[in-house]
Amino acid sequence: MRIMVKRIAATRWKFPGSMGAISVLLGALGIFVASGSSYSDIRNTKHNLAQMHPEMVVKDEKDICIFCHTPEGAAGQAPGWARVSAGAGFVQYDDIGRLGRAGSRAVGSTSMACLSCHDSTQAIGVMTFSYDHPVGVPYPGTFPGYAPMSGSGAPASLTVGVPRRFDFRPAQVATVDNRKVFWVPTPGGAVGTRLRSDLPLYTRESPDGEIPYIECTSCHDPHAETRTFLRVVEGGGGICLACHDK
Amino acid sequence: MNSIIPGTMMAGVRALAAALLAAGLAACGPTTPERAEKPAPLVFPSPPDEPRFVYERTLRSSIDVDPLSKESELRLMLTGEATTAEGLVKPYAVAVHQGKVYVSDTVDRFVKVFDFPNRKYYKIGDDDREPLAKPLGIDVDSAGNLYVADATRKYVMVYDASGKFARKIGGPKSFERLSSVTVDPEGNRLYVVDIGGVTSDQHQVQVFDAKSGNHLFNIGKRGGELGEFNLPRDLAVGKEGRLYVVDGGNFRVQVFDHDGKPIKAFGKVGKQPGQFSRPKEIATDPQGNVYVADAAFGNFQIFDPEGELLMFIGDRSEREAPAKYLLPAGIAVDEDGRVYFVDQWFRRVDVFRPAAIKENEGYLGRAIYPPEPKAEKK
Ligand code: HEC
Ligand code: HEC
Ligand code: HEC
Ligand code: HEC
Repeated sequence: MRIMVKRIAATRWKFPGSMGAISVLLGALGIFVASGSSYSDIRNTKHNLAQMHPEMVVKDEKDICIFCHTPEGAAGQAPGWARVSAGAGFVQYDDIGRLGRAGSRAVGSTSMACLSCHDSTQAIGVMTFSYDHPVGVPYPGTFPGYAPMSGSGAPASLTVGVPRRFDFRPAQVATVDNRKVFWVPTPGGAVGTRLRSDLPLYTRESPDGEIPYIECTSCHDPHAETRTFLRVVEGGGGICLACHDK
Repeated sequence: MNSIIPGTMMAGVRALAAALLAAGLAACGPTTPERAEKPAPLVFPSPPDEPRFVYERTLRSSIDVDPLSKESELRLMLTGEATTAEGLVKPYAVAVHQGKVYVSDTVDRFVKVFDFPNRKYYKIGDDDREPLAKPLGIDVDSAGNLYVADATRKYVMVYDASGKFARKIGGPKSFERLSSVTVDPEGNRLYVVDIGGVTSDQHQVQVFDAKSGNHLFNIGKRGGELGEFNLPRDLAVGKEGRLYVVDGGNFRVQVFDHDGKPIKAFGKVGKQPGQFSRPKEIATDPQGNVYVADAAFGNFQIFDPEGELLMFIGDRSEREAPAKYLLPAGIAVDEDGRVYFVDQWFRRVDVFRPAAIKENEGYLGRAIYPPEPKAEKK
């Protein structure tokens, strides 16, 4: 079978392996995942870095996950010139979207995960486009429970230095693991419960409390089988109008 | 400006302004500020281990090499005029030759030169007929010729020691996805790494005669066995002419003899010391030790020629500071053992000096602190 990139619409199904296998992996990653979450088959995408040649079928999807989700690794080497405390391991960026939450040692957003490969060498660089969407900036839309200051509709710290050239749809918020989780619902999404089809925002601390940020993974799902890994592919205005009001 | 991060962009400008102001204040001070209050040197590894490296300086823009431009920039800044200081936009790789530091910039499409011996900053690659399109890996031979892997044009572009375009090697028929070029010190052989890409089989090192441009032979093919590559990225020539290749998709460094015969591999996927996650560029020092940059760890690890881990330098941080990184990539070690380490995100090159030499020693040291007693020293 020839494994190449299939540019197909957003059909999603579970990994061919059982949920059990995925849980084991996620356990190893230290991720808690609600049962029933599903992914498309990453083996059919350009994010299958384990395809050694077109005829090769990757049997174990874990072989693909390690390219982005680095396992802790068994005992490392003791450096000859330095004493290091054993076992802690090097800190990485956030590769699961849990920055700052209890148990996360990550430094750097999920956008850093993308950019660690998308640097023009093994994967397309992203800064050469005529147009690049901002990431690592606060999402200026309102969210439930937030009392707007100064009538601007957004927390003061979100508007400082940011010309409001656009209007944004309100974000949703829920509390998971004692932390706020934000997202922008896509059409058809439910209010108050995050669905896989919604656009995730990423929580950070600010003087105003926890606020939502946009990252690469707000628009792209690196596991998806959609064209260019977009979370929303069809519809007028497509993904843009999920956040932008006009 | 096609920046993905306006916020960071602005932060960069602000940092520059702050640096200029700091420089200005220091220059106005009554005493020679250099000696006055220097912060304690940052040494690696930290005590109680024996220090091997000292953080020395950071290169960001023309003002770091050209003191004249520093003054004029400051004046411009204070009079509110637009600045013309040139900085790094998205630096990728670094190469060093006798105090000249070359940095490839994938967004600005130039190789930028911090020429310390001549105290000037200039760009290579704006030749009208043969412009650089996307410079990635770079290297310099001992005569000062510069070799640039251009990923878009799929040529290795060669420039003479004065920065003039000399010739190009390879071409779209030769390479699938060019990522780096390494020249042996004598300037005889050129090792060109083709990272291939996910849907290609052409994951290999191509060896050329550096002078004639003739293709000599290839090393490796796609796969996971010894001598095979998955997304190879960079190569360094080490002890006894051995070749050290970063085999990124197999999370290891492979060692070959001078003729491309595989000897061994070290490293595997993981977060522990000696393991790799997103290994990028590789370099060797005069003793043959091997330095491997890892973008995920925000550090470089140093191995002996056999692949035994010696130490590592660097930490992840979202705040700029010496030895703090978010997206490191390029690494080079100069003739004196100074290490140059690029961060794409913070747009800078950090320089580490071996603890065994003083700051005024070596090519870079002598260029910055010329040996004759200087008149300006009061
Ligand atoms: C191309 C890189 C890449 C590959 C390959 C990859 N992931 Fe991810 N994964 C990410 C990134 C980046 C995030 C964080 C972004 C986010 O919030 O969805 C993530 C998040 C996750 C999460 C947590 C997010 C959620 O939806 O709850 C799980 C679980 C996960 N990945 C499992 C896997 C598994 C299992 C595999 C292998 C079959 C895999 N990933 C392969 C990049 C990747
Ligand atoms: C482990 C390395 C790696 C990571 C991490 C990674 N990518 Fe990729 N990505 C690749 C490679 C390799 C390709 C294929 C490039 C090629 O060869 O054409 C690719 C392709 C893509 C494409 C183009 C797909 C197409 O159909 O043309 C998009 C979009 C993309 N990645 C987005 C992301 C985003 C967003 C993230 C972060 C969540 C991410 N990638 C993280 C390696 C990576
Ligand atoms: C606001 C939404 C949004 C954000 C944020 C975003 N992208 Fe994209 N990205 C897109 C869209 C839309 C496309 C075009 C898709 C197409 O044409 O099929 C795209 C295309 C791409 C491509 C493919 C380009 C090609 O030539 O094939 C890559 C790679 C990519 N993005 C990576 C990233 C990375 C890395 C980040 C974070 C630094 C990011 N994107 C942030 C929406 C976004
Ligand atoms: C996940 C939410 C989200 C989506 C989806 C989204 N945007 Fe945005 N967009 C933002 C945020 C947040 C900003 C930054 C607002 C600010 O700081 O000014 C922004 C800013 C912009 C800007 C201003 C850029 C600048 O440099 O100031 C443009 C233009 C833009 N978006 C276009 C698009 C387009 C086109 C799409 C569809 C491909 C899109 N956006 C999809 C959230 C989104």
